[in-house]
Amino acid sequence: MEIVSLIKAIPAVYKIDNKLNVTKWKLNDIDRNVLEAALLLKKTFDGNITVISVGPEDITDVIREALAYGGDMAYHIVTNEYIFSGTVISAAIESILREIEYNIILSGEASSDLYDSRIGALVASRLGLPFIPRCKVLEENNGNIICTLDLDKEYKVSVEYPFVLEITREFGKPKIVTILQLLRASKKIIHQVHIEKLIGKKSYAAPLEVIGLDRFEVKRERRISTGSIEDSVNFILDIFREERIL
Amino acid sequence: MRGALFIGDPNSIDYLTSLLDRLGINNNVLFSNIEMKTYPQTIDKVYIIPEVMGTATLTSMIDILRIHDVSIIVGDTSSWVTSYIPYLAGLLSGEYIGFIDDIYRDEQGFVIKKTIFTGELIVKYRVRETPIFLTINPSKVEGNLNKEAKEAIYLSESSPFYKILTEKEKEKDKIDIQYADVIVSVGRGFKNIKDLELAEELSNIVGGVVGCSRPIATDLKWLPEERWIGLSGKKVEPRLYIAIGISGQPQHLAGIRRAKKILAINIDPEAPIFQHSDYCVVADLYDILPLLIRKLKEQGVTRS
Ligand SMILES: Cc1cc2nc3c(=O)[nH]c(=O)nc-3n(C[C@H](O)[C@H](O)[C@H](O)COP(=O)(O)OP(=O)(O)OC[C@H]3O[C@@H](n4cnc5c(N)ncnc54)[C@H](O)[C@@H]3O)c2cc1C
Repeated sequence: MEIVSLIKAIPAVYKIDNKLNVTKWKLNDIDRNVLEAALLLKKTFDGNITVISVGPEDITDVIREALAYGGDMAYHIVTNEYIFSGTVISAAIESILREIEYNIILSGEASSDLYDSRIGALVASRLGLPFIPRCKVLEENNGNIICTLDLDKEYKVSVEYPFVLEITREFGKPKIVTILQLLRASKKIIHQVHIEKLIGKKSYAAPLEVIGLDRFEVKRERRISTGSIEDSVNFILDIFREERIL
Repeated sequence: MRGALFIGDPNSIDYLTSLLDRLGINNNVLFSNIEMKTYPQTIDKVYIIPEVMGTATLTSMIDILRIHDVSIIVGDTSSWVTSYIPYLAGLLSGEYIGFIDDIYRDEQGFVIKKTIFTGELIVKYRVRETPIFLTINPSKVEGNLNKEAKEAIYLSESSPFYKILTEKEKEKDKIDIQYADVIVSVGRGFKNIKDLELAEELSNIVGGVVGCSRPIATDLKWLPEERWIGLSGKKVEPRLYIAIGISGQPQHLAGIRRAKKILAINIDPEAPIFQHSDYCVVADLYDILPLLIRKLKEQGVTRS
């Protein structure tokens, strides 16, 4: 089975001076669950895991981490900067997927940075594939794929591939990667292709323009009580009075 | 200009209608999963959509959006709607932005405001091309909208994306934590479901409601999902937020950034929640809560 995991590198350390400058990236939290789902499928059906990620040149370490979790090879769609537009990201991923073989494409419920919850559905729709939202359990029954979906109700559903499956946090993460897995991952192939080669310069100049980017800072008092239980309880009672809760 | 509303929760219809009204958009199309007795007057056409997505429904919806020349599609944040809307956006090559805070118009067009990076940044977007697809968490609407009965057209699905084998209702909740003045919020620091009684009792005394972190609602299922607060749950703005046994992961903090004051009780002095709190109590909740409740009762403070 050909399994594709869509994973995202999200900013870990960044500055804003008119625009976003990211100095360190990390793997989006939920994408560990995506890789766990991919490993489960690989174990059950025997297959390969291809990782696809969109982002600047310096997200390579994050892609290596995804490979260390069990990915076999990766496509890195290189961008000049951080991309805010779902249209641009999904168009680029679509153009890779049109060139490679796949049976199941996995994406996470959302990325912790932009939190739009869209890439799985956008990619599915561009490729004309079924989209299976919010899967928290994946099982196999006589060769059929059974998913438990966490929607307004909880559904158990059967699905036939090809399809795009969205994985939730409740799926569970794989174990932390070992140094040996990271070393092995350094030998795996990462194909790099610039986004402009895939979707053209014009489409890359997104239909979405960022016209403002500001920090949202809330100053907190941080008054601390570390005394006895009695002291702490009195501290809370004082706060209740101060805040006119009582 | 015409708009479309997409609702999974009937309670969000007034808010989404008012939002489009404010943007000067009417004669709107409504997509929903349940038929209602009456609809706001600015809604022109009502379509009832099957629960399970599939090619036939999506194709009909695209035709409807094209025929009515819809430029902006706004949905609520129910999981049903947030899975449908990006798919439609992909079919029409429209930009989709999920979970926005606000949208307004200036002389150049629509401006969309959204809190991103788990609440650390606020971005303003301008979308240059229509149709635009959005979801927004509904808030309260002042006053009543004029409503009337309308004929609803049912769309059917012949090729659903998946086959339902079993379905289980989830526990639903009537308490609306979004507008609560005081929230007593529980996290994985609580060892047993029975211990939540401590939080309930405190909440009753201080006239608050009990909220929770995501794992309490999803992994443990100790409280209904409507009570979960954070990036993927409710965003709350109480006067006082009391976080008990909650570590303060960025995804939780994203839901409480607009709380006026935060009081945290956590046994771990290094818990990240303390960096984001006004009042920090480093202690075992099992020592603090029984004594706090006793003292409050002794002082004759009971509201339940
Ligand atoms: C895409 C995505 C979206 C998410 N959305 C949300 C969301 O909307 N809301 C949300 O909450 N989470 C969300 N999460 C999950 C989030 O990352 C954390 O896993 C979660 O918030 C942790 O919950 P917790 O603080 O209850 O548990 P833990 O992180 O396990 O913290 C428990 C805390 O209890 C303290 N404690 C233990 N015993 C005691 C005691 N006796 N007395 C006092 N303190 C004690 C511990 O010191 C610890 O700090 C999301 C995750 C992802 C990946």
